Amino acid sequence: MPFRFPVKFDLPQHVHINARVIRDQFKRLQYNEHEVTRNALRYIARNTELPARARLEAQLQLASMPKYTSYSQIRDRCVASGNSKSVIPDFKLNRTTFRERARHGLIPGVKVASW
Amino acid sequence: MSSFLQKLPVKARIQQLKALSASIFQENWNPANARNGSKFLRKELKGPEVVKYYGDNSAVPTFSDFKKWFPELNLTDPREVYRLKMVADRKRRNKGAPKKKKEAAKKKK
Repeated sequence: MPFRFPVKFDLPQHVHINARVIRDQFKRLQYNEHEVTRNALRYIARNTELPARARLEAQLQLASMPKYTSYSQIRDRCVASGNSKSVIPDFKLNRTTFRERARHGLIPGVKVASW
Repeated sequence: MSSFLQKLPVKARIQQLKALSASIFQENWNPANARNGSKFLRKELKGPEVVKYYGDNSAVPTFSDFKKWFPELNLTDPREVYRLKMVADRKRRNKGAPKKKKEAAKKKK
């Protein structure tokens, strides 16, 4: 069975696994690999003091880079359910899984609010 | 003292001073606010932090790691045993996972 992504990588082991989580992890790895290139191209494209032709070429090359190298494609997912909605970034948990774990006392320092 | 206040340096001279100061301290000097893209070069790389989101695989060993390290112990994962039992039960009741599309097409042919 061929690996379904262009580059082979290890699946994250201590997280809830999901097709979407795997895709997100792949995007993170690819973004890390291509970040410097993308930054350089972005700099060339946005620098008004460079010749227009160089800027245009940089812009085209940036647009032709694969979409899985873009930072905007990356989305923080819940570590317990793989859900990408209502994720609290400090805990990396979806609001429902956060509530489940907090109610069981599994999140240190978190208790039901009352004041 | 009063002569100093009457004869302040010309703006151009002050600009020269600022440009020189920036070159000495290796700072970016952009008096006309020209868009030279230096803000993209100034930022820190956030790739390494982004990759660590789903955790480090080698931080904590998993059950399969223990099985590999101690094959003579014949460890059995109770969660995996339970999962396989449920799969077998569902298959027995005719409620197993449906065939993949390719296999279904092959069977039809």
